[in-house]
Amino acid sequence: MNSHVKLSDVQSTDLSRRSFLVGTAAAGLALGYSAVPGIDTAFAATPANFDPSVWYSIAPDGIVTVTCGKADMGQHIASTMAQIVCEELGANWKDMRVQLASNDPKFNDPVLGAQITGGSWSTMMNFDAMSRAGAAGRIALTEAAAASMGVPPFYKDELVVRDSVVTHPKSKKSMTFAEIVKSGKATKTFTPDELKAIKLKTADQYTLIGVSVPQLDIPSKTNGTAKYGIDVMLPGMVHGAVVTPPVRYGATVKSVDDSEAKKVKGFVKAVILDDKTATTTGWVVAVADTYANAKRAAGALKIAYDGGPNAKLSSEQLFTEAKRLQGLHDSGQFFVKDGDTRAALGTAAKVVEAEYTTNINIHAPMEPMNATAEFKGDILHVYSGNQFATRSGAIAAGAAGIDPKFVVMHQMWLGGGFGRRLDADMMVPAVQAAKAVGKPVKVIYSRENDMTMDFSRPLTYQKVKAGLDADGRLIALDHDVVSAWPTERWGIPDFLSPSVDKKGPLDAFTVNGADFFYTVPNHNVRAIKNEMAHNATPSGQLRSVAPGWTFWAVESMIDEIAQASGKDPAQYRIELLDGKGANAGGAQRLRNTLLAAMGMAGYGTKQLPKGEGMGVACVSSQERATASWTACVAHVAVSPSGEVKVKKLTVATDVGTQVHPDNIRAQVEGAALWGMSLALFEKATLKDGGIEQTNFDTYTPLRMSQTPEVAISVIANGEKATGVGEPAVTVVAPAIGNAVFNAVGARVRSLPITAEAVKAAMKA
Amino acid sequence: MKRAHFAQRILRQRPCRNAQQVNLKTYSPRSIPNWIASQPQGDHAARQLALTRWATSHPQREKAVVSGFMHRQGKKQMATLNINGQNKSVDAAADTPLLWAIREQLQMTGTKFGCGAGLCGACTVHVNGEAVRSCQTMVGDVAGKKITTIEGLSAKGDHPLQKAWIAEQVPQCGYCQSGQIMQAASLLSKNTNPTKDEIVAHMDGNLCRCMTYSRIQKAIMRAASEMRTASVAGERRAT
Repeated sequence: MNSHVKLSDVQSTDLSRRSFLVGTAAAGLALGYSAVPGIDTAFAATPANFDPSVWYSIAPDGIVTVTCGKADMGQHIASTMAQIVCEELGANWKDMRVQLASNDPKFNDPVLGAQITGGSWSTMMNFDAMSRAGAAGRIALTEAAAASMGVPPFYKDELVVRDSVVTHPKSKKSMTFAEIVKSGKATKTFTPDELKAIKLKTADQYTLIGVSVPQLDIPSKTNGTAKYGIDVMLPGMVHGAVVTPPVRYGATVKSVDDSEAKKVKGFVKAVILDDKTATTTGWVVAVADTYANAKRAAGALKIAYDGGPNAKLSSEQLFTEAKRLQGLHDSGQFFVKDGDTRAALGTAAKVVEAEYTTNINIHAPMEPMNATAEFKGDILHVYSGNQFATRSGAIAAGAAGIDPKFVVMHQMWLGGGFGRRLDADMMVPAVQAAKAVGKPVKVIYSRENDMTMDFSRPLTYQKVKAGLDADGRLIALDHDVVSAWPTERWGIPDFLSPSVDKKGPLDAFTVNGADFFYTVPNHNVRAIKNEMAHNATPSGQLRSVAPGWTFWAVESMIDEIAQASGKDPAQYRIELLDGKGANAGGAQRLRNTLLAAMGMAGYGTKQLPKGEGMGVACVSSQERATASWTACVAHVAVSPSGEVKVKKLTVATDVGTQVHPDNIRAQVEGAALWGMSLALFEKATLKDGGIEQTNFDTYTPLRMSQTPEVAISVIANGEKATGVGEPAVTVVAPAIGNAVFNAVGARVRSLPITAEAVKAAMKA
Repeated sequence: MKRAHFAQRILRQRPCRNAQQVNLKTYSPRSIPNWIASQPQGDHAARQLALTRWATSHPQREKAVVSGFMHRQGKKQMATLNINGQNKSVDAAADTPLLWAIREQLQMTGTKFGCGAGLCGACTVHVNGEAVRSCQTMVGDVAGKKITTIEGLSAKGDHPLQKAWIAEQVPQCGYCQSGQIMQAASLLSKNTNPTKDEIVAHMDGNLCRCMTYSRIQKAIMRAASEMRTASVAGERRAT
C-alpha cells in the first residue's frame, strides 16, 4: 500500500545542529529554532529575515503563545508543552496561551523527525527542547531588561524572573515581559553549543512543573467554543457524506446510479474515489449543500460493488490462518532471541503451554472522522484533527495528485484520537470531492462509516510455551505473536525494526512489550505477519498498541506458571524482577510499582468473600526504551453464571517526573478504564469481509454505570519524565483475567472476557 | 453482557421527551422493525424513541412529518427555531435533524454529532427544559418550543455545572462534554440533591470515550452543592 505516496520533508530535525533565535517580529517577540541548520547570527539581527520555527511568541501585552506541534486529543499536551516552557521562561501561568501548529517540518518531533503524536512519547521527547526554549527566552529577556534598567551585564545574575516580571531587588527596579518586548531590545541568537550549555533548573528549583495548573484548553471545552475538525466552516463550503462498501478493504465500485439522489434537494454530485494511495477502496462521496441533504443523497445512491478478494473472510478464518502460520517453523522473524529455548524446553521439569487471542477492536473516538478540503490557487488546505501531519499531508497530496509541499494541514482539537487519527483516510474523500466539485468540501463519516472502516486494533493470536526447572523457576519462554502489521502499512521504513535473525525488518509495534524486564535465560519472541488479516482488516495503532496484547499473553502466562509451580503470582513476579543484566534499573522500578499496588489494594491481607478474587499484572509499556512502570491489582466478583464485575482497579505507576500530577491521574484513570473496556466490553467481528458492528448498540464501550472505583498511586522518583497516556491500558486485561482465575479458578485466554467463556472455564 | 438488552436499557433510561414530537398516526406498526416492537409495551418513551430512530433512517417518513409551521420562500423551506431565547430562521426541511440545523444553519457548533442514533448523547440539547438528543429530534417537531444549547446554558459560560467542570478539570478531548453538561443540567434543574445512583441513572446514556466518568460525577455533585447553597442564600435574602 501507499506505493504512490512519498513522504516529503522527512528531514533531519536534529535540534542540536540548530541555532535558537529570539527576535522581534511584527506581532511581538518570536522565539524558536532556526529553520535551517547552521544559520548564523546575521539572520537574527535583521528582523525582516527572521523566520524561525516559532515555538512560542510574546506579544506586546505580555501574552505568551506556545505553538504545539503535537496533536491534542485530550491528553492536554499543548498545555503541558506550555507548562514546560513557562517553568524555564519565568512567565505567569495566567499569561500562557497555546495554539496548534500546521504541518511544517519546523514542528517535527525533535527525536522522531516527523510530525507525529503517539506512543506516549510527547512529554519525554520534548521536555528538554521545550525547557531550553523557555530558558533561552528568559535569558534574552533578562539581558534586555538589564540593559534597559541600567544594570551592568555582570550584575544580571542579581535579576529575579518570576510571574512575567524581571526584578532587580537591590535597586528595586523591575520590568514586565510586556515592557521588555515593547522595548524591542530582546534580540539574541543562541548557537547550538550555547543552547546546550544553558543550565536548566533542577527538580528542587521547579515552581511550576509538578503543579496541577489549570489546563489551558478546558474552559473552551465546557462552553462549546473549542473548535474540532468537524466544526470547520468555510465560505462557499458544501458537504460530503461517505458511502462505504460492505467489505472493509478490497472492494471496487462497478456502477453508481444517482437518479434517485438527483431528486434530493441540494444534491451536487456523487464522487467515486480514485484513491491511488490505496488508503480506501470502493468509496463514494455524496456531495450536497448541507450534511443532512448529503446524507439523504448518500442513502439514495444505488451502488453496485465487486467485493474483491476479501469479501468472504471472517474473524474465524483469520484466526485459523494465524494458527497455521504459527505452526510453521520458518514463518516470521525474531524480535528476541536469547539463549537456546529449544534445548532448555527439552530439559525442563515442566512445560506450560497456552494460546491467547484478542479480537478486533475499534477506536470509535466520539468525534467521527472528518476533514475539510479547499483548493486555493496551487495550495490545498486541509482542516482536520490529525495525529500524523507528515504522512497525512502526503496522503492528501496523493489523493489530489499534487506535490506534498503544496499541502497545508490546519490542525484542530481532536475529539478523541487513541491512534485512530494517525491515519489519513478521511483526507481522501474530502480532497477528491473538493477537486470534483470545485468548492471547499467538508466530509463527515457517519458513525457507521467510522466503525466499519476503522483502522482497527488487529485480531491477534499468540502462542506461549514456558519451561520450568524442578524448583519451578522459569528457564525458557517461546512467544509467537501473529497479527496484521499496523505500522508496516504506513510504508515508512524508519518505523520498522531489524529482526535479530536478520530476516528483514519486522513491525516491532506488534511485539513491543514481549521484550519484558523479567529475567528469563532462554527467551524467544517471534513476530509473524498474518497477511490475510493484514489485507482484509487494515489495522492501526489503538491506544497502547502491541503491549495491549503482548502483556495480555505474558502476564496471563506468568500467572499460569506461578500456579503450575504452586507460588503466589505476585511473589513469583517479584522473583523474576531481579534486575540482572540488561534489566537492571527497570526491573526494580517495575517491582516497586507492583509492591505499591499490592499495598494499596490490600493484596494478600484481605479475606475475600466466595466468588471474589484479586489478580495482579505489571507492565513496561510502551516500548522497552520508552517504558513507564505500571502495575495493577484488579478486584473482581464473578457470578455463578460467569458475569464478571470489576469492584476496584488499583493502579500504581512510576512516571519518573510528573509535570502535571492531576493530568497524570486523569490519563492513568482513562487508560485503565480503556483497558477494562477492552477486557470486558469491546469486541468487533469480521463477517463476509465486513465489520459487523456499526454503532454503539453493538460495539459497546464502558459506560458510567460500569465504571468501578479506580485507585491510583503515581510514583515520581525524579527520573526522566515518561509517558502516561497509554501504559495503564495494557495492565488491566491480564489483571482482570488473573483475578477471575483467583476468584473462581477459571482461566480465560481470549479477549474480551465473556460470561460464556468464564462459565465454560469454570466447568473445565 | 447481552448487547441487545443493554441497548434497550439505555433507551429506557434516557429521560427524553421525543414522544411528544412524533405523530404516531403517520406510521404503520407493521413497518416497524421487530426490535422496536420488542420494546416493553408499557415503556412509551422508549418505544417512541426507537421509533424516531428508525424513522430517520427511512426516507419515506419525510412526507409524513407535520409541518404546519413551515412556509416556503422561493425554493427554500424556512423554519423558525426559538433557540437560546432568540427566534432564528433556518433553511431546513421539517425532517432535518435539529442537530444539523443548529450546527450548520445556525453555525453553533458546541452541540456535537456522535452517533446519529441516539446512543451516545453528544448532541444533547434542551427542548422546553428537557434533555433530548438533537440527532433524533426533527426540526419540524420543535416549532414553538424553547431550545437551549450549550451556548445558551448560561450567559457567560458560568452555569454551576460549567464552573464545576473546570474546577474538577473534567474534559479530556472534550468532544462529548457539551452533551454531558446539558444532560446533567436537566437533572439539576429538577433535583439539586441527587444521589450517586440517580446521577448514574441519568447520565448512563452519555458516552465518554476518554472515560472521564468519575470526574463527571464529582462535578455534578459539586455543582449541585453550589446550587443548594445559592438557593439557601437566596431564601435568606428573601426573608
